[in-house]
Amino acid sequence: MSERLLELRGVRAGYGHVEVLHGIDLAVDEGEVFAILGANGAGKSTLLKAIVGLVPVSAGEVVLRGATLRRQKPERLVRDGVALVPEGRWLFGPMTVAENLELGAACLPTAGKKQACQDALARVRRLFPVLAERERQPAATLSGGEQQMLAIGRALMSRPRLLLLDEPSLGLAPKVIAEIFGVIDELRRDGVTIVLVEQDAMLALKHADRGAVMRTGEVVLDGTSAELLADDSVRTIYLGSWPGEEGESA
Amino acid sequence: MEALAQFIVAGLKSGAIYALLALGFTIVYASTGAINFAQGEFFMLGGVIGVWLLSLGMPIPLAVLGAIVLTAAIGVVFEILAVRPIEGGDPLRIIMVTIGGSVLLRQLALHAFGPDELTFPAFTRGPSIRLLGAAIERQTVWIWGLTLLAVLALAAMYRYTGFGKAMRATSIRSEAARLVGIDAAGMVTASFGLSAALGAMAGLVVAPLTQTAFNVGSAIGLKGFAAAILGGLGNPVAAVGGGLILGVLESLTAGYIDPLYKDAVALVVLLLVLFIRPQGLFGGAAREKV
Repeated sequence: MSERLLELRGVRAGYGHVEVLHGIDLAVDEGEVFAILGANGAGKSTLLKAIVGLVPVSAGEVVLRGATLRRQKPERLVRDGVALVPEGRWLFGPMTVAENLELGAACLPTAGKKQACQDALARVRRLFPVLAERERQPAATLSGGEQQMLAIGRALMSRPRLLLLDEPSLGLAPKVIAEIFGVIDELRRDGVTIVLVEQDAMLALKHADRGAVMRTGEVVLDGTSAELLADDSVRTIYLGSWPGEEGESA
Repeated sequence: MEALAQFIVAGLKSGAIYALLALGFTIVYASTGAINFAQGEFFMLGGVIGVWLLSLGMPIPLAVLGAIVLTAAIGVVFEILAVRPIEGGDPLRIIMVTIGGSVLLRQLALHAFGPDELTFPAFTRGPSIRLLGAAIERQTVWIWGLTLLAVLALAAMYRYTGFGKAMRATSIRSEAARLVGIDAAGMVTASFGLSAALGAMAGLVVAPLTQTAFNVGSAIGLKGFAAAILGGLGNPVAAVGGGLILGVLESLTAGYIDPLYKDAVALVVLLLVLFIRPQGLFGGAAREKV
């Protein structure tokens, strides 16, 4: 039995007075890939933002390695080994690929930073060889797939134990998606725990150990990937259905 | 021809001062999206604190350095006490707070240093230097030299240091900067400290030519603001260009039309740019309204 890395207990969160998450319970174990599925507007991205503190948690607890986080801030969480790759990537567009990667290591402790930074950079170059070729180029000039690789690469520079990926396949060509999910598999083998938000449920469950299905700010189903794939309601409602077919967007 | 050279020298002299102030506006704008209307008061504080340090018996270089450091510290404290508590960093509310801050700083300076004009001696003594028929005061050489030094140091900082890159990253997208572990709030504080230091430097280096007093800040602040708008807010190189162009325009107006119109130039430029080319001469993207 592997250790519990992240646990959400009755988490409520939202923007201003609008509550988006209405009491989320989730548990992610060390070393697994956990998929969060659901339609547009189900609150998947908000959930990831609430974990790192970009969206304030109004009730409930986020527990990381047994310790409850209070008023968490992203700049502190990344030091604790939690990195978020947001939807839309949020690159520093006018800055070069090398500078983006260097900034990804901004949180590393000063002692031994140079070596840690070099190691992390070597791993990113190995996982995404194309980034090494583009190092002098401004991030904004990269293709969509390369930008997604850079966003993941930048997050890996902080050497995270827990990587939160928000829609890594969005808007990308099948070949690039395959490459990115290949990297997800490789990171999993390296022992990085991954929480993956993904609209393409089939794709996500193929690479995940477990998962949960969200609907309008609540978790309606969770289990192993095999269980979710076998569940009739999941199959018919979420897997391979066209967006909007389930008729709810919050 | 000789007159033209003299006008241009004079224009580039005040232009360099405007450039330093415009840089201050640009740095705070980049980190907050707001105009810091207390920027002129940092200019004033540099001068009056410098005179005060001299009166304590400090040599000129130490008084200059001390005044820059103290003014930067005031900028930092001002940001922490007045700007940081603003929820969500709403630019409009930051602008209001800086207007209030400028009144406060001016009044504090009045009580601390009195209402009189204060004199700061020239950094180095000696006759003017002749160049292409124009006479250049030694202090003007200091103005150009220190402005150039500040611009180069700033450019190097933004380009080569981790701190400078973190500042750039924060101004590009503050939430993304936080995700990689940058203290974005700290970067805003640093931007106020940095712009206060630049303002103080401008106030000190020009003080030997113009004298200084508690109330010199607002007029020069407006000039710096006009220069920043003229160049295009948010771009350090454009800020410097805007400052130099504004200085020369003023000087030519004073020389060939009437010195009475000199101070109106900044306002005319400000309005024309906002009407015709709101992104500034060198600005690419559209800018938020202020």
